[in-house]
Amino acid sequence: MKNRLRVLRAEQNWSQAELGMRVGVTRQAINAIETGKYDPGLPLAMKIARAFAQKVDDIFELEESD
Amino acid sequence: MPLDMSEGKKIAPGAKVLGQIFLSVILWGGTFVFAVRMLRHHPTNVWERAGLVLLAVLGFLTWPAAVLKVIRLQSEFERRIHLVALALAFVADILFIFTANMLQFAGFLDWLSLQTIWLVMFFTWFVAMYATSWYYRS
Repeated sequence: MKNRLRVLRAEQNWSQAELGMRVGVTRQAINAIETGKYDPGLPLAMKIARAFAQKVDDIFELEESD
Repeated sequence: MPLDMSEGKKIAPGAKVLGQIFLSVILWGGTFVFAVRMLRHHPTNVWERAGLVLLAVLGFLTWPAAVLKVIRLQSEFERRIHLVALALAFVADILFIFTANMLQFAGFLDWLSLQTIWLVMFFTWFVAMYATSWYYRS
């Protein structure tokens, strides 16, 4: 699964830790999502979408291999 | 009681939870050492032997109970780390036991104590936790 987390975070000028704090996870969790090591569950994906005021689909995108 | 799947609850930075784990390890070790020492005296009373076994098992159970409590307080991401680590540790344990079994068949290994097996299982769990945590956090 691809995501635009790093780009969106840069646009907001938020650090990983700051985004993590806003959605209630650790900086490491945000880093793992950005590097593609971890796909978040629906509750976390929705919290992230809410933090950026976007839809989940606008941030996370399925790849051919998914 | 269902697990709370909310992302918002994480470990409070604090000594309380770590203290509970530490206490459980002390309880586990303490009851184990006490029970083994008593059993080495070969008590003849069945109830005494059974009681010592129960004491050691109950002492051990405080440790997984404390770990479970920690996991329930953690986020979805931390739980994933625990799950992957458990899967890795399970494979490593099976590999160890199977290899030891084959070594016994081949005559390279005479006997393997159950104590060695559970110590190896504990060690592999610890290493798997460390390795999984390192992978996801690096």
